Amino acid sequence: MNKKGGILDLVLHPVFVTVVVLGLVFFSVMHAITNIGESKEFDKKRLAADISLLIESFQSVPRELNLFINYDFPSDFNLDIKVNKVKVSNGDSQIFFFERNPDFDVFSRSFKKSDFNNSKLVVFRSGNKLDFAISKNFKLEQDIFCPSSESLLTKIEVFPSTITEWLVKNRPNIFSETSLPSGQADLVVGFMGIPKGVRVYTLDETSLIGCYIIASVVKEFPEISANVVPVNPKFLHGLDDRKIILKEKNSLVIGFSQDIDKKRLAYAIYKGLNNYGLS
Amino acid sequence: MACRKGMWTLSEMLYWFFYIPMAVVVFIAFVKIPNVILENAVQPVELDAALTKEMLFNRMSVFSYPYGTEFSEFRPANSSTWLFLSPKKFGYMISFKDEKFFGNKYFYLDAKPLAGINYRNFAEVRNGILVDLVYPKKYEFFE
Repeated sequence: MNKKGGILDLVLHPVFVTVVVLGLVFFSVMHAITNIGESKEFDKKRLAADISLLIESFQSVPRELNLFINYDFPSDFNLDIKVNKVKVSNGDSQIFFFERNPDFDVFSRSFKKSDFNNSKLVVFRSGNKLDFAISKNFKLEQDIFCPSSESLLTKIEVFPSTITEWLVKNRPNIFSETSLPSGQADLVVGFMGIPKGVRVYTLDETSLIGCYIIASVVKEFPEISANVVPVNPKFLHGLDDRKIILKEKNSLVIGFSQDIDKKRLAYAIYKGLNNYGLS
Repeated sequence: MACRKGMWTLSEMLYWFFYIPMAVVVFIAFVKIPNVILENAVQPVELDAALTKEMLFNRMSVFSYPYGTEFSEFRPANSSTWLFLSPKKFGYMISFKDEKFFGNKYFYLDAKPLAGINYRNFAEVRNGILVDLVYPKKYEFFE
């Protein structure tokens, strides 16, 4: 009896315990391995990191370029892009941070997983904005990049033309008609006819304002050709209309063809000046 | 005999007292460790540093309205607006002639001497402008 008890205690009991423990360990390892295969945590982290790095690389490309990419985002996850972080979630979430170049406005957007059914995520950069959309019905706008401005315009003198009437009527405290610049204005604007499209002829001092005007004109008239043209008045012919205006330090001349809607053009110029900084 | 049985019970109790918690710890470790390893596997520090460097060079370049970005010139700017920084721990220094600009200055100054030990250093000179970045080996974050 004692001998049987001894065998039970010394052999069978530890063997039983060892088998149970090995079984537990084996099943927990198998469970962990299965979890790795099915785990979405890694996917979430990878996607968050990938989109963050994509946003950073979009901000590394030269500023005048507009670009977009179709990103194959899986329809298993929700996506939130806010300020400087990307969050990928389905219940639990994973986040990844990105740095921001102040030249660009990075838009905050949220997408549900259902948004990605048969559709891709579009990351695009147009002008000063870096934005996100769903590929259905996406069309890249050809905006123009202009660096940020901290200047304010409080007094603008405009030479009489069909456009100045609209400008003066809408902001009479800022726009005033002139036939001779007073030398007191923040900006002097002249107009002239050209064969095609819109050109803004600028000096060094006014090239940023020209950029804002052209960016706004392109948004209003996407089909026309519009450019900023830097001018050195020294090399202009004596009878050139631009010479009279561009002898003023803060001046520019806007050339436009006669087939362009004047009211819409005046509105676009006003909006461009507003974006630059009207007080 | 009673004394021997008591000793046996005590030793068994001690055995289970250590054995059960150990088994629980091992079980949890098997379940949790793989996920932690997988999450920590996503550490694209080198790529991140390369992109941040490009962003800085892009930001510093002069923009010409008719011709676009010109990479041969330096655009001075307020040092606080070179980049809008996230809570990611890293620091940078931009050096141009006698001027120096910093991002996360105190982190940079603390971490720079330890680059190669606890931190990684990424530096490049273009057109006389030095951009020097210091990152931890694995991502860390400011609170």
